[in-house]
Amino acid sequence: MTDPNMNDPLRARELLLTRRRFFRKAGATLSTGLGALAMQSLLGRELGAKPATLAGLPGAGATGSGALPLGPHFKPKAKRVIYMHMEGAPSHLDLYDYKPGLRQRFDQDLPDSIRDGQRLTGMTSGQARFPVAPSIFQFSRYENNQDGLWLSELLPHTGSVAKEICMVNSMHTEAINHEPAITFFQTGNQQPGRPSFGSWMSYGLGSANANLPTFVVMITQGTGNMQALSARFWGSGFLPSEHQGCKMRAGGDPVLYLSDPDGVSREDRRRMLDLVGELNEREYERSLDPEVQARISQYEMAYRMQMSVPELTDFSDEDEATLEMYGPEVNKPGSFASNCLMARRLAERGVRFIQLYMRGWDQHGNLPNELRGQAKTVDQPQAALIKDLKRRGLLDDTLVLWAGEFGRTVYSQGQLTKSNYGRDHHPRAFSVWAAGGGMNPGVSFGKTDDFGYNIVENPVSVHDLHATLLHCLGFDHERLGYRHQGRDMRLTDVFGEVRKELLA
Amino acid sequence: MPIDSISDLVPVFGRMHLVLLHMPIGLLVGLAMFEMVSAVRRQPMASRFLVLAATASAMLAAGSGLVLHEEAGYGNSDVLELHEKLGLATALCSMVVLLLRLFGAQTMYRSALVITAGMLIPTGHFGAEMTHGKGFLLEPLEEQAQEPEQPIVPEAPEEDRPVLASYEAHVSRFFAAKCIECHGDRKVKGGLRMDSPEALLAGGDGGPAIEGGVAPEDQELLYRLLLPIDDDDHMPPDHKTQPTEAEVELIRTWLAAGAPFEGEFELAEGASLPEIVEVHPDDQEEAPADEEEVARAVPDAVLTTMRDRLVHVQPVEAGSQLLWVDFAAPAKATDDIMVRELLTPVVDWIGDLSLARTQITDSSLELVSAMPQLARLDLRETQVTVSGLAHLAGHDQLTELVVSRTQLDDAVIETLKQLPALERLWIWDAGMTAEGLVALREAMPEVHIDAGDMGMSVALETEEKPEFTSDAPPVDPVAEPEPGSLAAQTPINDVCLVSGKPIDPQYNLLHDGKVIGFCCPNCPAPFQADPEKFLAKLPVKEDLSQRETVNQVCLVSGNAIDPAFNLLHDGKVIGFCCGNCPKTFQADPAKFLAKLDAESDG
Repeated sequence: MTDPNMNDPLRARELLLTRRRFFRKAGATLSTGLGALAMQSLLGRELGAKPATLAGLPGAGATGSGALPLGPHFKPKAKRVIYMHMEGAPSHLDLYDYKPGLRQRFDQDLPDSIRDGQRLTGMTSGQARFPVAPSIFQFSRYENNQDGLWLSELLPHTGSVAKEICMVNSMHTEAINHEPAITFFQTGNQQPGRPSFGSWMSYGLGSANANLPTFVVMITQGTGNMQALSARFWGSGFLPSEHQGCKMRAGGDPVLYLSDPDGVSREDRRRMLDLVGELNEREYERSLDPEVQARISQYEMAYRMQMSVPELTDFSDEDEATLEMYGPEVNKPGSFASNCLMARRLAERGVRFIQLYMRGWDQHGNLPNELRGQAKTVDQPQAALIKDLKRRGLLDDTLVLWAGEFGRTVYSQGQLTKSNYGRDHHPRAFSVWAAGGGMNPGVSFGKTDDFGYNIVENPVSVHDLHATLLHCLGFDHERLGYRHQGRDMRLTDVFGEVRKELLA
Repeated sequence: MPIDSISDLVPVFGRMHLVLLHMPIGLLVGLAMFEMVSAVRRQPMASRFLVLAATASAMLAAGSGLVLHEEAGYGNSDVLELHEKLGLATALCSMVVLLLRLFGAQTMYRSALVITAGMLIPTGHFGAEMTHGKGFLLEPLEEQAQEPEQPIVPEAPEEDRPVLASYEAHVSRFFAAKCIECHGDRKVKGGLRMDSPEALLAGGDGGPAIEGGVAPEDQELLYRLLLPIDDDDHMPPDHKTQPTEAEVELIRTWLAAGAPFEGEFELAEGASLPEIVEVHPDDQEEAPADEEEVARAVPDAVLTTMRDRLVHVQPVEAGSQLLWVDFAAPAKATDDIMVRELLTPVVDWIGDLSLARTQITDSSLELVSAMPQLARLDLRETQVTVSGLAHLAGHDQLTELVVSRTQLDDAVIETLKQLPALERLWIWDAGMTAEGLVALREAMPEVHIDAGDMGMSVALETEEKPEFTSDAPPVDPVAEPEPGSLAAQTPINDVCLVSGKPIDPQYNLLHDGKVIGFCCPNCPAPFQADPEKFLAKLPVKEDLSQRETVNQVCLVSGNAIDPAFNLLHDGKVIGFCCGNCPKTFQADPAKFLAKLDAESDG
């Protein structure tokens, strides 16, 4: 369903104008109704207005419209996404990118040929030397569909699902600092203002459960060094604001101000919403501002969520074995384990884009200790999530992505000892992995040099990754666009290439 | 056109209703308007002749209408009944009007006339609904502009000679156009085929479609056609093209004639041969899939109904007529009745169906088994059992099936073996025994089966505990203390404050922000016991800032001197402007002292 009208807000407005202003409203009285009849047929013919496409316009509510949502361009492998974003950038060298050769280069200076004049962050650019810090952790090779996947001792549970993991060791990004790098990874652009990946999916796929938001964000506080987390990482940019991510909180009310205050019954709430809705409708008739429509649909969504969210967050219907699988922290709201289980519950309830932010991966110093804590927090739950999705038949059409915003340097930031070191930001090479949803299971892709510093084989850019993920979701990344400021904007901007090697 | 008796003209009079009805409309409305104007202008009433004419026309129209009703063709409907009653009432009222006019009761006459004229509006409206179809007036206002219903007025026969029809030329063509799509060689819904006389007589699951010695209305074939369209058993299903009145009449007559497959039979008087528009099912299914086609396959209204019940429905891909239907949102409120109600109209167009976590039971699976294009079915966490799944046996399109967390048992293997297209099966926690799973895997070696017992990856090897080595020359930790550590810093004392011996940097201690040096590991303890006592031993450093400097301006920069940076050099106090200049000075004191000499010389 690629109606060009959908990409053009002016055109959309024109069509809305036809229906709303000249037709429906004018039909209120008989005399003007007759005039409207003639006008409708005139305008209808001129603008090619079809009711079926009208309701599919951005801004149309999820329910009550007779038309089909935008929908994917071709048959998708994945219907939904669970995106675990590791905020702060975990060290690929200590988790995924096995470089045994570095053990013999402990504390040697990083060769200039490897750094190749790269501009470093202000945190290490003043260092007198760049001593190579091999990973302190022991690696094991887990059985996958190739010659095995090397993982650090910090991820034993993840190792158990190695057959499902599509590991990319050759990611690279453009930004070297957290804020622009996360913005880039989420929106395809370092500058704020573009819609996030989840918003694009909400826009493109539409809701599969009108009782819950299409795009849900949950955050786990890390134990390591934490960086700021901006709400605009899940913002909708120039897309209608109903596509922005809905953040669900850990404690108390998962969604703020969702429950009715004391003394307000559900019937009262309904009456209030009906009245507000009427006023908003009137305002919309007057201004034709799509944001008013978004507001109306958000109010209705909140009303339905009053019923759906308590059921969603109540783990009492989970059996012991499942809870145990996610680990000891599963009953602690906001923990990574709890959020992983929530992600599965959201996935089976039809939520399209579930994003789990895990904070605290910014190990500039004291890396071995902090990384141990961070990895322990995520390892068991993330493996449990994969297993749980798989046995329920959900992994096939759920795309799981695990990624930080960049990697970390092979040289030590600050003091290097045999038991302690730190690592600075490193955008030139890092590792991410995906599972399910049409990604090639049990394979590794791409290679870095002996230092894990530069990519030597099959580099994958963030745009490439986005294009590939969109492909799994049934979208041609060059066609999923939205006209803004006179240009058809895309998640992949003007870049991106689908990496077929990553597809199943 | 031979006319045997006057009674032959009666039906003709009935048909003239369509002409006659316009006369009272014109006369009564015109008269009413005239009288209203006259009332305002205080002018006399209209001529009695005009009122008589209006009343007579109303009675003629009503009378002809009654006759027309007697003729078959309109059946009995609410609309007809309303129209008839209102028409009679209008005629009666017009007689009252006439009487009042004759008695000269001016005000009452005028009021009654206006009321009578007003009654024409609903009467005419329902009459028009009969000829143009229900909702004709407001139809353009409906959002889903659908094709207007075919006018159901039977066309008058050109001649009076009997109209002949045959199974071969008419009845079978009607079946081909409206029935064979689902009851033919491609699909055999309900076990019924309608593409041959034998098949019709053999019938389907519900018995024969045609039986000998049964009244037409009791024949299953006509009974299904005549059921109200919203009845589940109505045929063709409500989303399909419906037969016209004439087509139904054709079937009725054919059945009344004993359903002959050979030869001709005579249509009822006044009936006409329907124009059968042949629909090729192939066209519908294999036409290029564009948006128009999607709209045609499943009416928007059906989708809206599903959405209103929070059921997710969307094409499996852009341009496809096949639908992905997911009951995730209303799962807990979804039962067999809801599934039947919502899915029956789209049963042909479902490609991917998720009923996971719903309250459905086995009976929904009967409906599911009638989904010819279903490729993926998710029944996770439902009450379905082996006997329910048995309905699916023989389904040749189903490639993916999820039955995790259901109450099955090992007997399900027999059903699963009868799914020839099955490629993937999820059957975790579904009541299968371990032996059953083994048997299942043996029975279907080519099917990918996930029973939650998937082999976890194991570590194939683990590297040695990492040993950090380096081929760089080994570094002596004593000679080169780690930068930043205490050992690398210069203590404020020159000799151990406790023993008076030379300091060893490895025993440096941080006290009150200052680094204190010691000679051996034993000395820090007595120091910490009474720091003040030992600190008193520190040589009191002279406060240079109080002393006069030998220079007037900074020797390095030439700026004014800040006493805080005074430096003792060679017994002289040298002043500097800032903290950097002393370093520069110390690097080459002679050079700067030369300046001092020049200064004093000058």
